[in-house]
Amino acid sequence: MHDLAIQTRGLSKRYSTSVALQDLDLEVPRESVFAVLGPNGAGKTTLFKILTGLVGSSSGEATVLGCQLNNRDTEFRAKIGYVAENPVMYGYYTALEMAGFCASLYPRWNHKLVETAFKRLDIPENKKIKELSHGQNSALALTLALGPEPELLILDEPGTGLDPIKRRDYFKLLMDQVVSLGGTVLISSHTLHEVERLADRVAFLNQGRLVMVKDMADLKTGEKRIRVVFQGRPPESVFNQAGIVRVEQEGSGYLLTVTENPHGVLEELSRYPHFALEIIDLDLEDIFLEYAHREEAPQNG
Amino acid sequence: MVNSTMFRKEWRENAWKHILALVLLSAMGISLPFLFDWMSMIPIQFGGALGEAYQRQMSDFNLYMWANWYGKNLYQILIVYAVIIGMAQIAGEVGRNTAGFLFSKPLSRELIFRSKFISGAAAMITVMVVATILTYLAAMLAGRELPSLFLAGLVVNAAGLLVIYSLALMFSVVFDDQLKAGAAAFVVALVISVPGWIPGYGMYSLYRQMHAWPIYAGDGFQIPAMAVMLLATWLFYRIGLGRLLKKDF
Repeated sequence: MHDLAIQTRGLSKRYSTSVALQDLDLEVPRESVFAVLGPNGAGKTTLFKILTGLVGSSSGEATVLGCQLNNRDTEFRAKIGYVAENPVMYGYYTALEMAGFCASLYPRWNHKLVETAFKRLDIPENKKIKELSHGQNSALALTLALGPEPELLILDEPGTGLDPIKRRDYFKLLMDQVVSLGGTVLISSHTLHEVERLADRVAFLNQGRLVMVKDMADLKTGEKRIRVVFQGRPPESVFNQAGIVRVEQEGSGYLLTVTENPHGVLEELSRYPHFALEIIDLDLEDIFLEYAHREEAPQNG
Repeated sequence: MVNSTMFRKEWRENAWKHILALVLLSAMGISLPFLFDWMSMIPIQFGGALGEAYQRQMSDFNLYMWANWYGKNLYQILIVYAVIIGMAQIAGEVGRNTAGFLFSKPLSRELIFRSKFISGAAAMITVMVVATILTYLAAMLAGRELPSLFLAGLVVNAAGLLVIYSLALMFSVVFDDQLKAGAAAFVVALVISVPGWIPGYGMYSLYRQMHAWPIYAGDGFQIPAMAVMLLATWLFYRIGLGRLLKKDF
């Protein structure tokens, strides 16, 4: 079996007046929770739509579950669960009828799992979809994506409108029923603390380009800030070490952003007389903001 | 050939449109035989060729029924009906934002398109046939007799209906807004009527063909005209499908 759930090579999507994706080379390993982060308009939704066959690419290749996307094969879609950013379903169906509609389109359907999710997420079975609240609609869309026991689940900003308890319940279900059974999850979310908890690999997209891909563990151990207050003025060369990507002056001290080997940098800094020297852990939100800032800086001159 | 789930979904989605069309067509059809005697009593207010034609029509029940059902009511309603159903098929999914949901399911776009086309066509043809049969039965109930040949006009009207329906379906792929799709289909449907207004070119008009006069006259089906109608349907369908295969949702 192919050990990658998704592989793209030089994937691009151009519209008449804009570029949504640019030469994207991405590899998503099977059995992983892979998060795609980026500011609005970064190309995340376009990428997800290409991977589900809703949008065609302008150039490049994409392989999903071993199936090339530039053909009309629908076999791979039977193995995918997809929830769009704002999922809209047929308002005239009840939630239960909608589940029946979806069940009949897939070669396999886990009725028991869907039933469990209906109960856990408090989805009113016999209410028409047009009468559901935003949160109930989200919960239904997420539940239906689990029905075909997908090998790959693609979630674009999942669970908007869901309360924190139901979000936690859903993601628990997701981890138990998809990830622990060997499935892969590709997720995009602005709820970064959730991504931090779920994802084991992270990609950062900006303006259609892939800026970085890292394991979550490497990201969190490699990306640090170091605060240092020197005794006297330090030599300029001290900031030219490998790994330091940004230096900000804060009063009499400095705040350094380090993307690799933070302990090596710390050791080097400690050679110079200082009043204070400390390493600051970053959470995913800090790292996200840092990358967004770094990407904006060259454009702003 | 078609996906039964899609087929049922389409019928449910358009149920009210079909019911409305059936009620409207049936009401028109059923009233026709009962109005014959009453209309025969109305003194003719106009002379010339028009007056003569009217007089001829009112002297022959079969001719009256044919002229009013196939010559006016049925094809006029069918054109509007076909555009309304066709324009919503793809553009309706886009407008309601359900296209992403539908087209991410494990069904090929060909199968979705085909299922939509066939379910719409089947429903409209059913409505047309039922309304015409009710019209035929109403004539019997009114104590009049219509030849069974009367029902043969349905074949030509079904072919004409498919032309307009496939045209609207094609525009429903081209435009994301179903009103624009409908407007475009109506414009083309209007252009198609032009030969009917030019003396000597009536046979090139789709709508004149839908009047089915050759069948009334006992000349049978106009095979070349039927072939052109089916060819046009196939062409509009293929263009629509081709556009759908490349469409981004």
